[in-house]
Amino acid sequence: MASENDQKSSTVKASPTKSFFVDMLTRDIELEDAILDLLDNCIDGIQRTIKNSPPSDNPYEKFWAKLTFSSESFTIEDNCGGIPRDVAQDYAFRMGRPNNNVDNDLYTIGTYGIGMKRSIFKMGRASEVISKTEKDSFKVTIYPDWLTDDMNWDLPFELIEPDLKENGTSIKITDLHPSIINAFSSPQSILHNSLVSKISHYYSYIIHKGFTVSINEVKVTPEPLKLLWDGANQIDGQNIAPYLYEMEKDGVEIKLAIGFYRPTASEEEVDDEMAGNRRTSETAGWTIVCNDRVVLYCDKTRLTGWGEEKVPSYHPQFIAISGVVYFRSPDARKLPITTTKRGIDASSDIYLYVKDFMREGLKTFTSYTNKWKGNHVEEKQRAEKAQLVAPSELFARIPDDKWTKVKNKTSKSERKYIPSLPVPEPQNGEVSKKNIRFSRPLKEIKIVADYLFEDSDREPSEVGNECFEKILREAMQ
Amino acid sequence: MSGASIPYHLRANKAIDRYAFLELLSKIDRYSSIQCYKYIGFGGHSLEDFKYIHSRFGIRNMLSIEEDPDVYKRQKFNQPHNCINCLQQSSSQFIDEFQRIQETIIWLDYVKPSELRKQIEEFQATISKLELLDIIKITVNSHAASYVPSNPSMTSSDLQKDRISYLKAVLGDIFPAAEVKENMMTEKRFPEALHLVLKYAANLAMLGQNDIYFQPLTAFAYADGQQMLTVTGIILEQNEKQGFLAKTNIDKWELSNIDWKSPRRINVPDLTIKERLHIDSRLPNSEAKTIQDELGFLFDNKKSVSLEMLETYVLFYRQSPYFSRIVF
Repeated sequence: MASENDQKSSTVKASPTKSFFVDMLTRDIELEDAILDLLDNCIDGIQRTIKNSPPSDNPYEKFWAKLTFSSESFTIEDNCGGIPRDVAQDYAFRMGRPNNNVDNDLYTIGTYGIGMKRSIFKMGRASEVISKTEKDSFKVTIYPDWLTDDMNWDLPFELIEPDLKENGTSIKITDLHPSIINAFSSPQSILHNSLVSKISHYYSYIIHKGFTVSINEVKVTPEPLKLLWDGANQIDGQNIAPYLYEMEKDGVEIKLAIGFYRPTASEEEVDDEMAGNRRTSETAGWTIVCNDRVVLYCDKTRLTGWGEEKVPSYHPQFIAISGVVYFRSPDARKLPITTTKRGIDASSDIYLYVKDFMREGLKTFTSYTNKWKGNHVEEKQRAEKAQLVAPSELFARIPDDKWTKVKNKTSKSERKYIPSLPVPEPQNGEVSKKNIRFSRPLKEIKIVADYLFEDSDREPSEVGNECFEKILREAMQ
Repeated sequence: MSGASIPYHLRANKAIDRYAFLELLSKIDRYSSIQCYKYIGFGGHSLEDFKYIHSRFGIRNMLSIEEDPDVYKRQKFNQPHNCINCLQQSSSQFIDEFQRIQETIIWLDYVKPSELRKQIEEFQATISKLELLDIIKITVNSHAASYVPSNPSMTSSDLQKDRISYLKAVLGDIFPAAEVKENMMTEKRFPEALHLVLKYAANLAMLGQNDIYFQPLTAFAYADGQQMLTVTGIILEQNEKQGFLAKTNIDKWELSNIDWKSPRRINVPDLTIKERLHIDSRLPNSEAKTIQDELGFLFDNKKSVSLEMLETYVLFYRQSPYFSRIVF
């Protein structure tokens, strides 16, 4: 009887095992992303450090993170303020973040509290985390045995004499997994190059605002997007300029810019691209930035409005179109990002709202490209006069009276700037134009190109146009 | 396809590169019989390399790719042996359709700087089709000014910035962002940058094939007119490297480059017959420095460059071709 009672009230084991976190969680993440997660923690550290500083153009200046890796270890060291002792003791090392979060009013992007641990487990079986703040210095050590012991969930925490020169954190991971040793040290590994390239894209805005990142002593340079603009003195007439939109809603600040980052593609370039002889389409598409961190880079799918409603799907013809949306909020949970921080939450209300404007912007430029199809030479000459300008500068330089208010109750600050893009002449109704199309053997085109331009590689459309111009000049005499 | 401007027999540095290639093949021969390979190349109008390779190794299965119909006709006319199959096709079309059936040596001999990305993608497509012990050689234009020329209004720093932006834009995701630096954007160091681009491209192409890898063997930069970079490598099994090197002795060969170090420059002085006989008579048992001091004149304005030229000659004197005017 007693035993029956015991059975009725007994429990089953539902406690987590270490291997769940160590093996399962790490499967969901690529090595590069695990490293970027650690870098995100540095950025969050900066946000904590500068929360009371006045706004500045270069808020991340003086902050750095140094990453080094070899067959022995991986180290990330920063001067981004360090982990506060209570944060470390209460939850920084826990698997998941409790609700009473200290970062509630900060422009951070980490919300789920698994990043650091997952990254450590992804790379190795032992690690040492040292941190120094204004108040104290401590060290937390993870030993290989701890990873297999399901009973002990605590880690040794030691207060130490300051070991780091500046307030910051140093994470050293050792006892690396074989595949990680290979990625870190094999002569065939692509990791170093690919990581520098990824960071130069994903942390472009942060690096541009002063943050220094180096990987095995190579400093990463930012690659921020710039868009073509004819300039303020051309703004009254038809001019090449990006489409801009800005608003603030529920504590989220949004800025959007889309335009051309290069002249549009000629027919030959489109053909080449379609034949698989790719050139440079990587920069086309939408980039989404949340709290200065790029979460989606140059997307060309329905996720960012391509091929939706009246916008055409991405095609090499649109190779010159590139746009960026900045979301900024002290509460990371309001940002439209996924748990991995490396993707957009496409179903979030705020994103769906902004997507209408993304589509409107896209449509403006896809239509322009369609209108100029067949007049590429003229369009190229037109676009070459424009300068590349950083979108942030454009928000300040486009005069207030050129913006249109967007009717919306929620936000007074919501407005957009729709450029009046040049239109090919026939549509202005003054001069009627016709296209001349003919094909000639490539060899002959090259001969004429070499004769006219001393460059046999000129595009056939340019060669054809120049032949016509030349004869026209003669005929007009 | 190649060598449209300068006649082959006047390109002394290219000729040395070709001799070095033959020497490399004879070393590989100790490990894997070169005679059993198929040789694929861009033979140009004279099919010069085909002649050398056939006579040295007796390869009987040879294929030359030529796009230009006129050069193709000339090639057919000049065909030195009937074991060379000439194909009128573009390199990209050839690589698209290429099916590897036997051990292969392929030389992608490119010239045009404007098609760098396409050339590197063809190189990647080729190596991913190759199998164990296949040999691939690629030549690309590494004359920095052919990519972005200098102009009088530019500072050298602007020029280097423009060149690196150009490479980034053209190469996109195959640009090795960690390794290629702005200070490599000079004529002298540009081959080093493109060498790193090829390294990254080769490693990217081999991703997912964990058992085999691209092992570099030689890398040379030479200029007879425009500066060119040429890199040769072999597909090896991961655990085969030591055995391969032990048998071929390539790691002990002074011209080898098995770990992607900076390419070796081939720039031999243009010697008169008298100079050459004099220098040759002091070799192999004298240092270049001693010979230079003994000669009492320089081959370049700069002493260091002159010495470098002489050192290169000392390395290559056995391979250096002898060109002389014959009066009939």
